[in-house]
Amino acid sequence: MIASSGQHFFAAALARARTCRASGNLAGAWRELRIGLDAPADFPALTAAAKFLENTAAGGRPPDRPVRRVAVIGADTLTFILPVFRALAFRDGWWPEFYDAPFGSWRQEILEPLSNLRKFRPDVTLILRSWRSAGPGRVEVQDLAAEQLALARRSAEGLGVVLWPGYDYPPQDSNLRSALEEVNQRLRAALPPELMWVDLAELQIGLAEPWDDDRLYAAAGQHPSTAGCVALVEKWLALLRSRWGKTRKVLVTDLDNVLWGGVVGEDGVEGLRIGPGSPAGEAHARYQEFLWELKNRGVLLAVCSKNNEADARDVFARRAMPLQIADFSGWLVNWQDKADNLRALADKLNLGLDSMVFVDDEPAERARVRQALPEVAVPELPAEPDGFVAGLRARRFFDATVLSAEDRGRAAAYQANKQREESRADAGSLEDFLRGLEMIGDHGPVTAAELDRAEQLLARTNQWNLTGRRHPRAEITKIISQPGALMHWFRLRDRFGDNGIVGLWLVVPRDSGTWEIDSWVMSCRVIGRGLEELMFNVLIREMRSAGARQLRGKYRPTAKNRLVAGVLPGFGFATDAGPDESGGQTYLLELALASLRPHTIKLAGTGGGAS
Amino acid sequence: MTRTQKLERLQEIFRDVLDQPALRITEGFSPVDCPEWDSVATVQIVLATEAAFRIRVPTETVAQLRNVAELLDLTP
Repeated sequence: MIASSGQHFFAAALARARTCRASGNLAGAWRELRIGLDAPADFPALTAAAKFLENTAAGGRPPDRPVRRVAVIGADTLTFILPVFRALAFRDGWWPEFYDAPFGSWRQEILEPLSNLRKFRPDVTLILRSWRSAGPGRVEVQDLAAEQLALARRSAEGLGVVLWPGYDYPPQDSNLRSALEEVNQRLRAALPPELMWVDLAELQIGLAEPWDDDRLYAAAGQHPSTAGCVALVEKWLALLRSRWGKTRKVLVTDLDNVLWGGVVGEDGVEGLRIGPGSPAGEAHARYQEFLWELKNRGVLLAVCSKNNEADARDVFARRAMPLQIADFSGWLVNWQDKADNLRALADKLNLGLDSMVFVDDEPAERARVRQALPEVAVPELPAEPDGFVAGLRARRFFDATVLSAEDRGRAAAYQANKQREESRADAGSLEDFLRGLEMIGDHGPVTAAELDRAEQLLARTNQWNLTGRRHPRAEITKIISQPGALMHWFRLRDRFGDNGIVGLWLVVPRDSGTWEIDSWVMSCRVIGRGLEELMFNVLIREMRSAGARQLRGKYRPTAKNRLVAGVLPGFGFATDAGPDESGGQTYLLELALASLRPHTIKLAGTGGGAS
Repeated sequence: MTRTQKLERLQEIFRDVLDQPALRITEGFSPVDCPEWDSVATVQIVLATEAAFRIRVPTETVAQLRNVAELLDLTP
């Protein structure tokens, strides 16, 4: 079994939580474990989380989490369900206090007015019993249905929110199966309206893994399988969220490599993969269809993407896709911090941040939103787009979303009134977040070893590209062999991994004491992290030690590099000439007047502060 | 893998499942030594061991795992 990225994500978060706990930082321990639970839920992770929670809570329960009294009762073993429930309820923001149910007496506990169950006064009562307890002998439909209905009616009072299960079905025994199907029909038709119906058979059919695990049942009396336990608890919690008005209402999606395959600013509209023709294209189309289905059930959709707005519009205008721009109630396509964007969206939609689900393929963006806006749900999705839909379905974020007429009207109103958001005031803690990324930068002159990557970066970078010059490999070699010419590569690592070489600049000497920036590019994956500042600082220092007095730079507009039009003036360059006939602008920087820029990236090997 | 190396690998699993980062186990380590080691923990340990060593633990052992040595004997 190969550990999935989700398992790694959980294991890393649990390790951080343990480190926090060991140093007495309980708030940090709760926070890190909560983040780990954004990974796709699996039984080993959830039981490990529950053990951690219980051991840590021995020193005091997590504050700010309401306690709810939960009774899980029934005919089957419950010991495997409880830790799963503990972990996922914690993820949902509350703390269950469990009723310690005696084995096998659940009927009497419901029927007797002074039973321990009734004295416990549960906020929630969850009932679990399966085909295994109904069989193996002959089942009288009439009797079983009558018995279950009597129990259900008595459960409607004094037991809080009651989730009543239909029967699941045995894999083989067809007599038992058809009897239970009939019991289910009768039960469902006559169930008191106060009770919520849990369709176990539907869960059983929908599960990718086996629902029955005969070894586990033989060894520990446990039914359903561990995967079945997880699916059942997710279902229970979704029903409770809907009862408590906590169902999510908005799905906020990224564009590049989420709504479609590829990066529009780099690959161009025609180069994106969406729809038939490629496996990724198919997968992204499935994701769009899933969103469309959500929208038709009343879930609001919004886009939050770092992109040129015109590029994003262009994709919708020119590519046939399941979703149209009009399907989105929010449209946040800009280069701002995504946490700021989400706050603005919440204001605009007049909904809480706790009604939002944020889908993004970039780990740093997910980490940013988790840090700044813990109320927003930020699922870790599988790395491959063909797992997006299953990953989101498993979380049941939007189950039983019932929207009022007002909600529906709201969606229409926003569509009519959709505009780009004004840039928001800074989140304040963005710098803390960047510091938390633990970024390490590295750089050096381009040698034969980096030539391929240098050529590739120049050829492929469209957006953060000052001059748009595409030097082939042979030409790069020629240019950098000139005396005084200098080309540096920049690499960026953070706690999520190594981004590789993501930046380059190339400067060449012109007149005496003056150098010119021939090219300056940076991968759009790292925009907004401070790497441009680091690259600038290194450039200034290199120029000074080369004896330069002035640095000339040119912005040459291309179809896609509007993003960097203001970069040179932002770094203190003064206008020198232009604009020329193609809109180009030349700038000049007196190196004696240049000042270094702050950022939060450490330089490799220095161990010290920012360069 | 030597028996000692396998024991170390199992120790990681036990530490993780029982949430005791400093735990040291011996071949004789058993549920009696550790109140945290309940039936759910046994199944967790079995699942993790099966994944780590690519083996299948027999039902009898899942039902009643007596000590660490029983698991060690099953590993290749």
